Amino acid sequence: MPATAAAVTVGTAAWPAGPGNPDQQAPWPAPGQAPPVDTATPPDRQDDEHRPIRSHRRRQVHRPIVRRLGAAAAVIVALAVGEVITDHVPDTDTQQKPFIHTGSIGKPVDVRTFDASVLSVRGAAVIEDPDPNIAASPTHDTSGVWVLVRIRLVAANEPVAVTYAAVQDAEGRTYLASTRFHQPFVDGGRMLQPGVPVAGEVAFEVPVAVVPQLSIRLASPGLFDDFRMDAMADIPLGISTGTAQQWKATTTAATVAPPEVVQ
Amino acid sequence: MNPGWWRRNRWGLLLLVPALALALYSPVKTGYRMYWKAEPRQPVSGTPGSWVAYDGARMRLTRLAADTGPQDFLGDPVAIPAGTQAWKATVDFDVPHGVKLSLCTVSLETADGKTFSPGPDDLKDLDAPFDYCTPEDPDDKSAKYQTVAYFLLPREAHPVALRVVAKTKLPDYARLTPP
Repeated sequence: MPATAAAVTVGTAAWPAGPGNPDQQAPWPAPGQAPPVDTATPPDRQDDEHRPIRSHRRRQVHRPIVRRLGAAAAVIVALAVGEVITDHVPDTDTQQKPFIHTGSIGKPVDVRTFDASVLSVRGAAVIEDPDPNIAASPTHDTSGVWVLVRIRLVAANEPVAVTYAAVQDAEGRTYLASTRFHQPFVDGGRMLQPGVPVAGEVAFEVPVAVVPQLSIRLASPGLFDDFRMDAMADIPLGISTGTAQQWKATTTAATVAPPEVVQ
Repeated sequence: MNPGWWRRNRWGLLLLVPALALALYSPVKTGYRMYWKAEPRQPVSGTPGSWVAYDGARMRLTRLAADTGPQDFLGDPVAIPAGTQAWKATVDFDVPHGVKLSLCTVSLETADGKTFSPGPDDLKDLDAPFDYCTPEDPDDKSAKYQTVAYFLLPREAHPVALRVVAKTKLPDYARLTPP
């Protein structure tokens, strides 16, 4: 039976005779021989049939490995850069720390919602309780020394209470205003009115050794003690070591001057 | 990244814009609302001395004057610090039955925009009420009542209005001007 005229049987199925029949394919040429010429497919379709499938078109053995190594290297570099950035960018506490406004004794410092100035500084070894009738003890001694800072505060545009008062030494250690007795000036009980200056003393209990390095810090952090990104006054007290020793040696109890309106 | 990447992902990139807008809308709106409602920013006012409707009630500033002779609970004069001036504001309230002015504060506004709180520490012995928006007598059930508030201002300050602020109505506040 002529190969081009009838069907070829493969197993139980008949393969139609024609150019696609495997039994009718020309044998693969031996090395050195030219490939067989496809005379059955029209010349304008021959290129399409020999074009590779799209997903296989660029298959090369070495490219995926290079790409994967490159991607891994890029991830490692990105992580390293991120780590370097993280190490050099200030943390949240640093970013949102208060803006320190530094001043000097006798000169007002603008603390955004109020102005603060230090009028004078004195010290003592013993202090009288401002409310002796209700206090457990009429006087308060200390193993350190009492530092009494006379400050003057003026609210700027609306009522404000200065509820943060502390002294800080050269090493950054903070000593809050003493709570051993009532200090209405800075414990939130004193509301300042705009343009009405109020002066009074605030008492701090500190070790004698740190007194020469102290500066006073004042702020109005609000109800929730929120200091973030708000102004804070920092005024060095300029106390000498000899003065601190003299204060420690005094035996007369000092009285903390209450806040009162001044001109 | 070749030009084909942009062409293949063009719909995803286009949809990314509204997706980002939707994702940011709620937190931005919430933050802005919290900022806007945190302070009294929108005055509700009327003509000088007239009634102003606010927080379900009506109120008016009937008198605002310097008080040269404030007295304490015993009738003794209260010393006014040098360089300052005490001011007394008298406010009429007309509160319908069932309405209660709660969480209400008052403050005095000066010509330069500064505000002052009532009952300053240097006038704490003054015969002044504890609440400025409710009757001094808690058993007083009448719809109309009057309250007073004292303020301490620098002598050169010039008050122009009384602010009544209900926390639940922020950023609105009543701005009462004297007759």
